[in-house]
Amino acid sequence: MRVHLACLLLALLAACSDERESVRASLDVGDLLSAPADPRFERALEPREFSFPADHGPHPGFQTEWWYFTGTLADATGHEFGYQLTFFRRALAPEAPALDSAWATKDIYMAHFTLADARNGTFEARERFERGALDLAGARATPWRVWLRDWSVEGDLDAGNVRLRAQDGDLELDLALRSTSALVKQGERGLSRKGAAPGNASYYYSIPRMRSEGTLALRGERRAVSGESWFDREWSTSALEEGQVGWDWFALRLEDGSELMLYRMRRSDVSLDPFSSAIFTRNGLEPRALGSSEFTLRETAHWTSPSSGASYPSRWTIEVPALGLACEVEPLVADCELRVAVRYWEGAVRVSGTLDARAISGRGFVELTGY
Amino acid sequence: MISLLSRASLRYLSRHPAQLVLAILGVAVGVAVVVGIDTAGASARRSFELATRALSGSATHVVRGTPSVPEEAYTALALESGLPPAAPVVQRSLALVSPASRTLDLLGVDPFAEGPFRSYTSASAGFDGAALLRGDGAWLSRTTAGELGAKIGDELIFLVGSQRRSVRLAGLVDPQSELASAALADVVLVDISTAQSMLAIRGQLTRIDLALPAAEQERSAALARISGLLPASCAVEPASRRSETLAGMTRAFDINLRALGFLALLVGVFLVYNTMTFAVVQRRPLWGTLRSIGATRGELFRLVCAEALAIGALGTVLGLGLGMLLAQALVRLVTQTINDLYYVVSVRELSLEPEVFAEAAALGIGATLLGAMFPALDAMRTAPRAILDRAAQESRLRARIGWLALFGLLAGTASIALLQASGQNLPLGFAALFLMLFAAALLVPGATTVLCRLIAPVAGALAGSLGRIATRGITSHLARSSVAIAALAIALSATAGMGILVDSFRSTVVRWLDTTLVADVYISSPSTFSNRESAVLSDELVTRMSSDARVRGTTTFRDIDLELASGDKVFATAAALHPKSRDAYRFLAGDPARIWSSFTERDTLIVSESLARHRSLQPGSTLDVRTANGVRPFEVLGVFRDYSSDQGWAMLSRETWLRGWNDPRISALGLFLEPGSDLGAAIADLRASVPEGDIVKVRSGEELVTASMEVFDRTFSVTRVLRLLAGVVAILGVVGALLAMELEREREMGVLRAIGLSPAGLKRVVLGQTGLLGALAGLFAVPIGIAVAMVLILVINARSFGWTLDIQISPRVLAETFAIALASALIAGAYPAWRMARLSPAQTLRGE
Repeated sequence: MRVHLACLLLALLAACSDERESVRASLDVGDLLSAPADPRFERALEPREFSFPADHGPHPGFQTEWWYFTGTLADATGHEFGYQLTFFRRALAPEAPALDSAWATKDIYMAHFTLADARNGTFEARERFERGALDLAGARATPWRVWLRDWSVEGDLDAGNVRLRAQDGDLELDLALRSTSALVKQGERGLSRKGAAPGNASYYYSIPRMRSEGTLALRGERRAVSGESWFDREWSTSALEEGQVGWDWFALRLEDGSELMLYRMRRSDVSLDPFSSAIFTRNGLEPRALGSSEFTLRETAHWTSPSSGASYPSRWTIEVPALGLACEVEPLVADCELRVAVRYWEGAVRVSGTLDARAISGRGFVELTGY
Repeated sequence: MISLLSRASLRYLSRHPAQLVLAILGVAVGVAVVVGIDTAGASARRSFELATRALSGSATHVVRGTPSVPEEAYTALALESGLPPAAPVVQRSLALVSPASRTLDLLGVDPFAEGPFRSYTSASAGFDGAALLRGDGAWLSRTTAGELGAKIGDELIFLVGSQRRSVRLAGLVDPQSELASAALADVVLVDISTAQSMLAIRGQLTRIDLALPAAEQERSAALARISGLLPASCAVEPASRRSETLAGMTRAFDINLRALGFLALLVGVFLVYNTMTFAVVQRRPLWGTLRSIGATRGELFRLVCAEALAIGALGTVLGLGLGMLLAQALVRLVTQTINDLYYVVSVRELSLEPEVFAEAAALGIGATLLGAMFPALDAMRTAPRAILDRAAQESRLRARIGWLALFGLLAGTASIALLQASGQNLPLGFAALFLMLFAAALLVPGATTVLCRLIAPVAGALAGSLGRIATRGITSHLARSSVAIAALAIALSATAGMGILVDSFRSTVVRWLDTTLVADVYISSPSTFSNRESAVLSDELVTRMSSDARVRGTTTFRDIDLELASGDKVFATAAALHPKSRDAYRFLAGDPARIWSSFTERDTLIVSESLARHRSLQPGSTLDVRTANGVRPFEVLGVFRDYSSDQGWAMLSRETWLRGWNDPRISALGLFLEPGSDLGAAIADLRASVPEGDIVKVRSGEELVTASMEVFDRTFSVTRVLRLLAGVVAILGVVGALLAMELEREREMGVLRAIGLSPAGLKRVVLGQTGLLGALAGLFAVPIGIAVAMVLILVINARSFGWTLDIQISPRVLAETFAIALASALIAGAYPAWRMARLSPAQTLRGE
């Protein structure tokens, strides 16, 4: 559920440099983002039959799409890490400008790569931009690969094998991912509505559990790690609707093999947006969709970013009475604020609580925007 | 005692304000010329350095390729992990035709790779990378846009080759530093895709900027990795290399400008010497009286030096101010020349270099002190009684005339020896020139005496005793008059020499153009030197023009840069020459028959005289040239006369070019018409058949000569200004000196009046005397000027530019020189003549 994050791409291109001031200025241009998209773009209007492997690849007719990997890892000593490696594609126009140059393109790619160190409480975030041209950045379905220069994810998603690689300075990640859960279609058979207007929706599927193994290097220290990852895949031509200011998104993997994905749209009048929703999955069983009235999400603590001054919730209580689920969610590292072109918070969390009256724990990822 | 001396000095100076003012002005103008020239030159250099540095941003190294860098080379670097930052760049000078005419640097960048390189492509500068990707978006700095009168949304139309290509002004950048501001002056920023498409160079980059780590070990490791990833046609070089090469191109131009400035100062020094001599000589009775009442020699010496210091300081301060004003005017002329001949540079503000000021101050004050030194020593050495004897000094000088002449001859010989011994050394060439002028100055007293003796009988015959009085006046006051004559002669000879040089150069070029431009019609794109690479004609245009029924034959040219194995670039033209065009080439070395028979067959080329001189080439030499097929040795077949570039250039045949580079485009076309065709009608028809969208110049050979001479004249406008300034310095100084000299002779004139000379007769005597003095100076200036011209043409020009010029001594320049000498002398004589004629004899004789 990161629809709007990629929408911001247009504004943040202005920030190809590391000039923070201007970035903030550009983010204030909220109305620019809610401008209607070019009508020539395709829109997600109704559920469609996904066709794989083609749908793992790019959808150039839509304005925005992304491939989103997040996960928690640990080395042999139990030293825990959270990671994020995401690729966004954003079309600036439905067609590339008519220029006699291989550099001419309509697509911009952006990638974010983060590593959080739970033991030392540190968080590193890197971002990159590139044009979708000249093989500098791109996406293709067969063989499946999405890349931005030397950062890449590739493999065979249908067979459940993915190789994920990223390096930037002293930050490095090289993981082999293997699906251990089925592909889950979010929303209505893969159509996830974000607002009232038709077409303000996305095609959205996830692979909630992927066994992950490989190496991680941080501050010159390289270690073998293993853990679990979550893969999100979404494409749309969607825009922020009036009154929507941001969202909180939770992707939780419980140790009994079940997963809860939940998002809450936040409105400027503090009311709960009716397009908030959740989905509960358990391998082998039909996913269970939950409406905004079927769960409660309460913030029980806050953390103020020393650098941006923004105050983010830093602990939550989630209750889903229909599932008999009540749990506490807490970040592994408090400061997971990405101070990149767009400022947001995205980090690994630990979960503890009860499910069907049994104690349960787990790991997951939370994304907080618009704070 | 000191205070009495100072008072005596102040009193003298305040009673002769005109002399004081002229002395100060003489120093001021000399200093101003040096400051003006140096500041103009330094400002142009500094702007260029800033622009190059800022355009390459924080790049430490660049990847260059032959003929360009393939974009795959960038992709290879970008996709590799752990390499230092790299940014692709497409850059070229283009002629903007709308909304204003100007040459701009098109800078095509990839906003995603820019971050570490150029600060002005950041959001804080108002730059929006996304807008850049829209296809036709372009950015200008707010200043440049303002100058061009371009508003956001306006179309900017450029000329690429003969085609119009337009972009739209999408935004304005506000540079936040001096460096960025200099960088963006005359730069149009576009996306790399827009740049490639505009220039029709799909797949090609101008260079790749690299920001390598500073630590030596890491840097060489990165260099090794990068080199390993690049194709053979590319090489990594330090980022500073290119600006050094370009700056080197104008070195000779710079040295010449500075030397001309020195020449003006030299003239100034002579005049200061002249003024100070008078100021001292005139007060001989005062010195004698002061010595008699107990002033020591040292005190007198210090007094004169203090006076000189004061005059020098005042003149210098004034000169620095005037110099800044002059620099404002000169900088336009200097940059115009650089833009015409070398590279694009735009000077936004004068760069005030402390060294220039220090140098000018040292020269101004130093020269004044030096000028006062000999008179001061003179005042000090003479015994009190002898000082009071007005004739003593004259008799001493007369005794020394022979020695002075001998020294003059020795200095002249030394100067010629130095000219011959100094090889190609330019500064030594100038040193010899100055030595020669010094020698000439030493010969003046002797020559004056001889000439006056010859003239006296003639003057006597023509004007009776008045004529003789006027003539004798000069020889009897030789110590004063010879200095004035020498100063005026040297000053005028310097300007005459420059005049002869320009005339010779001009007539040589005109003749050369007339013989070289043999085709009836020339078609070229309206490019300038700096964007000549992109100036190609469209295929359609070439086909249409050459297929006109009246066209009997063609000559085609393609302007290119040849890259040598060493990495240096040599300007070149690939030509398919019509037999008539071939015949127009005049070879200074090499056998034309052999040259033309081998020209198209093998890897051969012919080189211009300047190139031959700069690179020591002669028939049989080879140049290792990087072709598309690798480095190949090219044999030099001959050296031809050429005046189009002081860097020199090479010509190879179109066949050779196609073999080595496989690029069939052409930059210019010469058409030979059927005999008897109406040239005017043909040109009109050809102009009408230019395809839509093409912009080309269709000109007759004659029109092309005129256009070329316009550039030539513009180039020499700096020289003309300097010549004028040297003339102004000379006139100022001479007016001052003659004024002083004549005023000093008031009493003598009083005697003449007392014994019956009418006021009108007195006027004639004074004017006759100064006129004669001016005429003598003008007379001496002619041979000295010719000698100066010879040195300028045969030595200085040859050493700096490598051109052989036909010496053209125009009577006009010589007559001008003589007229200026005479006129300034008569002007100088007018006031004393008027004043003396008015004074009553009793008044002037009261002192006796």
